[in-house]
Amino acid sequence: MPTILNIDNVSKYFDRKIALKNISFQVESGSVFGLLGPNGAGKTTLIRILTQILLPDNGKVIFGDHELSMNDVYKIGYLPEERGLYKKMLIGEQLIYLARIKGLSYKEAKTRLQEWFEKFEIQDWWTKKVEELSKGMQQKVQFIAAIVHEPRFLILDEPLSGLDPVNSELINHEITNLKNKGATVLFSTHRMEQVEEICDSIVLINQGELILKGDLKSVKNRFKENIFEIGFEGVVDEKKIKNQNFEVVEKGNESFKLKSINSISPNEVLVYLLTQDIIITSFKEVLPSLNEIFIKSVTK
Amino acid sequence: MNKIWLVFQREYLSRVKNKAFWLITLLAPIGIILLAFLPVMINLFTNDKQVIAVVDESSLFSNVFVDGSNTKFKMESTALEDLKKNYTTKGYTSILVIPKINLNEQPNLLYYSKNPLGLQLKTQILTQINQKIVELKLEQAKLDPSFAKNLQQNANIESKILDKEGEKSGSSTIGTIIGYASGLIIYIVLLVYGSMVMQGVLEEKNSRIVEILISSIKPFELMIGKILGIAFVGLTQFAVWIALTIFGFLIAGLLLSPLLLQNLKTSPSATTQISNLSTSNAISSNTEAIDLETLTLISEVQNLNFNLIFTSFIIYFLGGYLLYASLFAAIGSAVNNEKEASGLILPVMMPIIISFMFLFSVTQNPNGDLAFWLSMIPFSSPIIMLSRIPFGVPWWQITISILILFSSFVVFTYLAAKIYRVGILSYGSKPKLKDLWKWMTN
Repeated sequence: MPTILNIDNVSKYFDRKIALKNISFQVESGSVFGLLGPNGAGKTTLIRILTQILLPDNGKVIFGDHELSMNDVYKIGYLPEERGLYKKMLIGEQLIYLARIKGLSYKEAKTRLQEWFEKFEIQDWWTKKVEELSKGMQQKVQFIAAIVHEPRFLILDEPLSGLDPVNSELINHEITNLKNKGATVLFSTHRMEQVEEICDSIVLINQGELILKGDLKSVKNRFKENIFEIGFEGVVDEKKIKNQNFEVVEKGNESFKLKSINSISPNEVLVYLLTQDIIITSFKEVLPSLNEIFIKSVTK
Repeated sequence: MNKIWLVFQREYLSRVKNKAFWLITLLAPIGIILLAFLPVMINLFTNDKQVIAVVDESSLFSNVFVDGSNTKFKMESTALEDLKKNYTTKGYTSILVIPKINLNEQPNLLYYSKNPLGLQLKTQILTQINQKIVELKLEQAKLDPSFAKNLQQNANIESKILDKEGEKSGSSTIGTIIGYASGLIIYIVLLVYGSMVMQGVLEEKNSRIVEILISSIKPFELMIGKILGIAFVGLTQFAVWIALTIFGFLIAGLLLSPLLLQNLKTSPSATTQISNLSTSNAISSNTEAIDLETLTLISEVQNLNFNLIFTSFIIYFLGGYLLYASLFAAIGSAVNNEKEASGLILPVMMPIIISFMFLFSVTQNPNGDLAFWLSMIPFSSPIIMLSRIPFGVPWWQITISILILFSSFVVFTYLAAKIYRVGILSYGSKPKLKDLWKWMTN
């Protein structure tokens, strides 16, 4: 797949403090990409560089086939973590304004926005003021503002925080829809289960440095500890199974976890188990959760 | 450019569509008209008639007093002590006692009433008494009393400006009034619209919408769009005010003129009030004197170059506003709330306040060195130059002053934009002047 974004050795300093240090990664076109990291890691700085609010001190950002420039703002959608709208302005007028600064004509903006209002069943919000809406409702309005100009590249910073499960599902569904239509989504969140659910690839930033990158599967494989979960029937004597290659790390009534000391393939594990006096009902390799990987990586 | 236009539209329309804007815009001229006409109206519509018993102990002043629309004088021969007891039952509101007059001494009159003697009535009585005393003195000196009319001198100075084009009339009284008023208006306008810009920036910063905006617009475009939008809000307000004020004065003039004319015929004292000229001239024919002064004022008004005053008002409003607005925007971007802004805003407000403090001395000496230099310094020129223009200022001075003002606007907007760019994304602790300097020079 072609890359839509190539971040090449980007650094950013505030005073003498390093906010980002030699960050490099690529984002594949049409993917949902997770930008992860603890608070203060430099995610917002990186996002602000992508939205051209800040300029990098070193390195460059390639968008498509050229260096990122102000002309690209029309192709980028952005939902910042710190949400904000004009409180006293009518929602309809406000969204038209935001759509027009993203390059849409008045007529186009109005038509598209009306479609979105119908889709989200919020037609009566058009003439309301933002201050009359709840936070969750405002978030829906902001989501529309971020995508109304149909950006090729969409940056969503904690898009689901503060949303109830119904609205979370609605926004999740729209993110998937956008992906299916060919948009690339850069998704920044602390909620690892959301990342596992929708992201194809991730990068993990800590203290301004990139500490992990890759597609979800390969990252998990990199962190796997060669633990296998085996379901069984009857009785299992763990002393019999344990030898110089294997140890039992956890044992229950219906399953146990086996850790191989050396890195070996699941097939080899299975072959070994078959030679033991066990009735096997299930077998799977245990991969670490993203949450575990996250904690392990940033506390190293 | 297109984006500045979009920001401009939003800033302009969101304010002009606001009900509060129209409330202030429409109420202000009504207030001005009411203030301007209040004294006349009060005078016309008060039924506060005064009937004054005149006790003339020397019997020299029987034909002196002329009744006005609200004042009547009646000669009274009752003894003063009795009169004091029953003057109200006799229908009087007060007693005026003119003691025996010794023409070589200063006369001392007495006035008895429930209320103290008002300034207007006092002037009216003294004018007429003094006039009579002069006549008596002339009689004593065996001079023709009609000579008194010629005695009165109302010297007048007409100021003429000599320049290459020849001589022109230069005004002083009206010039001072208009100069001071223009300076005062610009002073208020700079503060009001400057703060409006600051609040607008703070609103965007605090509502956090600024992050969305500057991911699509350059901070500079956002700042300039906002500043220009609010400038046009100001211009719209002026236009409405001027139209409404002219309209209001026309209507009020039409309504009041029959009443005024009627009053002029019946009361000479009304003339003094309406022309707002209190003449304490002791010597006769004060109406003629008033006419002369009024004529001078009217000719001063006619001589004023209103086109120049108006055009320069707009130019200096725009120049001064643009210069200060960018600084107000920079401060709004740097702070987290209006309370924090108060410390940083002082250095910006000081030149405005100092210019205002010099305003009076400049109108007193509009062509002095102080006036010249203050109208060249961009931070004071909008207020000071405007106050000088009614007196006549050489073209080269106006041109240089405007050039300096607009080039400073460009320089300061550039520097303010640097602060603004960093400031709008800085939350947390209040920045110090040192921080602003660092943002500006980075």
